[in-house]
Amino acid sequence: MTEFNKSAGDHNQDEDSRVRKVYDHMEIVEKSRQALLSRRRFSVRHQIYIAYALVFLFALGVAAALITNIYQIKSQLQFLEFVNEFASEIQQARRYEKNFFLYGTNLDDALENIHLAKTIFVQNADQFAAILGQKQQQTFLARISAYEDLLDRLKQIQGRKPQLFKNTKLLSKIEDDLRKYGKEMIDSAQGLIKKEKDSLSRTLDRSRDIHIVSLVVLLIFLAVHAYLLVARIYSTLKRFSGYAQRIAAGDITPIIPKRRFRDEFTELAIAINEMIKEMDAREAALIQSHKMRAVGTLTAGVAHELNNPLNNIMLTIHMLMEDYKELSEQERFEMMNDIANETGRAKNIIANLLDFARESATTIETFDLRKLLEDTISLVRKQVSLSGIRIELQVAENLPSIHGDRQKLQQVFLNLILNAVDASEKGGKVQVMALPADKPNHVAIKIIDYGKGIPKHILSSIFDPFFTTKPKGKGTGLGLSVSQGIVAKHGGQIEVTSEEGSGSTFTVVLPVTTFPKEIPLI
Amino acid sequence: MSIIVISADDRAAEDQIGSRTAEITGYGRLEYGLLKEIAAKYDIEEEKLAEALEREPSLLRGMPPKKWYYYLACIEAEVLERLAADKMVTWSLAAHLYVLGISHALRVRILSDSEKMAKAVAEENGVSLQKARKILAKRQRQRVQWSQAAYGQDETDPALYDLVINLGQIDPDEAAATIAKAVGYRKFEPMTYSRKCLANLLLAAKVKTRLLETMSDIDVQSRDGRVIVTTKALRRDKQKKTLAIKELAGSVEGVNFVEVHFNNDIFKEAAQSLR
Amino acid sequence: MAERLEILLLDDEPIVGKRLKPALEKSGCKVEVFENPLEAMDRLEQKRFDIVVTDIRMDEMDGLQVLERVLAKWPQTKVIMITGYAMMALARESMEKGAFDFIAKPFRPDDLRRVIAKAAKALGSSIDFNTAGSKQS
Repeated sequence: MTEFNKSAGDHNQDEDSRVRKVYDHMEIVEKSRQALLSRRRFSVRHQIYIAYALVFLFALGVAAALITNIYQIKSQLQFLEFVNEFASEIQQARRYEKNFFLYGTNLDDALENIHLAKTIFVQNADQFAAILGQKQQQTFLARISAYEDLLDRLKQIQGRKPQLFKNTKLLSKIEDDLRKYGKEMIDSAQGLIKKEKDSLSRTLDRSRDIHIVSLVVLLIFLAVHAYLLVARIYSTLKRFSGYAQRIAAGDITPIIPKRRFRDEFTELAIAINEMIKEMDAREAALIQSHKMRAVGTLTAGVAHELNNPLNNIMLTIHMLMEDYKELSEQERFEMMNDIANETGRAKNIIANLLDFARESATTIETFDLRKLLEDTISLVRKQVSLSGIRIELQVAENLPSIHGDRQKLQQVFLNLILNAVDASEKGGKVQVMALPADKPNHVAIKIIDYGKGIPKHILSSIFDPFFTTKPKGKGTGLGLSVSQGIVAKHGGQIEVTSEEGSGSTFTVVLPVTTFPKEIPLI
Repeated sequence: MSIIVISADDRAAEDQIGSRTAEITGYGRLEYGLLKEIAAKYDIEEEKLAEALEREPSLLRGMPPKKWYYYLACIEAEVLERLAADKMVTWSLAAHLYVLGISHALRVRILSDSEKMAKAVAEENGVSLQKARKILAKRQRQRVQWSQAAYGQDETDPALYDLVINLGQIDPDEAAATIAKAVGYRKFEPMTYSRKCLANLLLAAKVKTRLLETMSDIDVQSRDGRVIVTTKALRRDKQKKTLAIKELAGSVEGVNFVEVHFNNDIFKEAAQSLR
Repeated sequence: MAERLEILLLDDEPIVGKRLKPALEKSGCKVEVFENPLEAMDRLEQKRFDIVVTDIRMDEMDGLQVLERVLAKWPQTKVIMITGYAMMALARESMEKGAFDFIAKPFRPDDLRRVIAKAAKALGSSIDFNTAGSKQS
């Protein structure tokens, strides 16, 4: 009864390795998940929020600039008014001054005007200073004061010593000075007005420029942002449609990060990776389930084949027990030797079957096609000859080696051979040929039967999953579809030609010692 | 010298043909009357046994799956025990679902005249013919589900039988005569191999009954006194469960070796479900 | 002449004959062993055996064919089939073709002895088939 523990132990080990394989694969998906998530988050939503915030801030800045500008215009207008007033006071003063000299009118009005002008100037001294500069303002003020002084002197002379008016020399001296200062003041005031007007027009121009420039900048910003947003969404969508096509074509490697940040699409990528994980597990289950079915088919041949060595062992042991005493030493030895040999034979049969049934990780190796086909045929030979069918193997000389997953390809050939045997009449034959394919750097393996052939109307659907012509319970309809999947992953294809009534030919075309496109990690 | 296993969708027809066949051949009868004996032996209510043969488990009706499987195993073991005696006609005990691969068991399916049955149902329940047909279709669906759940077989699948007789065309008496004649074919004669197969089934059923009394998820196969038990267990319980199974199974007469396998293999299950 | 049960044993596994010949001879039978069915058929053409024990799956000829040809020539002969490929359909086919019994490999020498004893009884001969020496294990 200790035997039990051993078998249970083996079972555990098997289970462990299976679990490990599934776990390995989950780890890959988990790794890409983490890679996807570890990037800085910058979602489409963020991008839109940031763009809106920027537009708002820009509008705020423009508004602030415009408001300051308007205040500036307002104060400039106010000042211009003062300057105008100031200039007109001075002009008035000069007009009275002229009248005095021409008609001898009084000087009080002129004095009053110039006084007012001076008051205006002093009151707005700061502004004047800002526009004219301190020094100019001082000279300006000095001129007004000088002019006022001259007018004062003139008035005193007129009041106290009218006779002095006879002294034309003195008068003309004062008149000249007055004229000189008056003219200078008028010129300065007009200069001031001109300057102030220029400044105002500049401020107005700036206001216009702010409007135009801000509109243009806003337009450019919005255009650029729209472009970036569309490009981002569009390129990602394009990438994902690429993934979808890739997955549909059977390449189910997980999506790895392509950008430096993560966003809404990252979640989609993770979801797709989860889906891939699921698909992967299903495909593995499908391939394995199909293999187990093939194993089931083989049991009739291989497992029953076991009964022969077992029978030999059983008979020998019982006879050994029965006749132990009567048998000679040599006879006993011979019988035990038989037992040892037959045990070895049984072991080989089981090893063969287990080799095939074992669910193994994908191992890519370079191998000889002839050997693979011979092994495959020997696996089914007994069972096939039971149904009276011959299998002929022809392999072209100097055929190059194949690079790929030996076990999975064996599954493909086994499946095709068993199908061919099923299609053959009792006493018929199945030909297996390996030869260079028409395509350069490819080999073709043909499995030919001379059975009923495949009707034209179902020829196109034989590779579809779950399509079967076998009676219920006999076939899953998965063999050819799984086989085609395996061959496609090796970069090859399965072709079929069939003539109703005279048989079918399945041709597996495989590339020579090139690395397969993608082998999923199962 | 052989075994006749009859299955029908109509209990009355089954009964009639079974009894008639037993009369013609002189074979022993093995039918629902046995339930009383089984009930007494295992201390189960007879109604529960009848119900287990009829319907799927339901907690509402006080028939948890665990008990259901146990009841069915009890019936199976007792029926197989009696069938080992040869010269037996059995019906109404689901033997068609577990007497498998026995070359000397003639398996017969009786198809009732569906129109006649619909009429009978319509009269019995006072409903329209259309309604009666629906009731029959539903009953049939339930039977398929029951047989799938209990033995993983669809009992309406004709491929399961050696002989299918349509009562729409053949009278019950003719059917019984046909069965009696067919069972005389050399093909259905017992031989060392088929007797051994039956003995294997019997031993497996006995062990299964013993184990299901206290456990669940048990599958048993046997060959020449060697018993292979397949069950499920968490890793840490394996050692304990193995010992318990070996203890229990070893106590069944005829068992000289017990092997325990744990089947937590999802791929294999997937493969089996596709098979 | 003391009648002894004459048995022809045909199996392409040499060990089967090597072990069963002494086993059956011990029980008082005359046993001829063949590994090649064609040679066995030649022998059967010449001589009537009481019992023929034959394997079913052999390369040169099918055991069922052997069965048919033996019964065609010697209808009285009891043919016992032994096979590693025991399946219900094959068992039924063998019985239908007139096999006396059908045994699945692997079997014990006693299993075969018991079947042969049954066959001897069915032959109705006075032959004494001695099952002594067989110890139930």
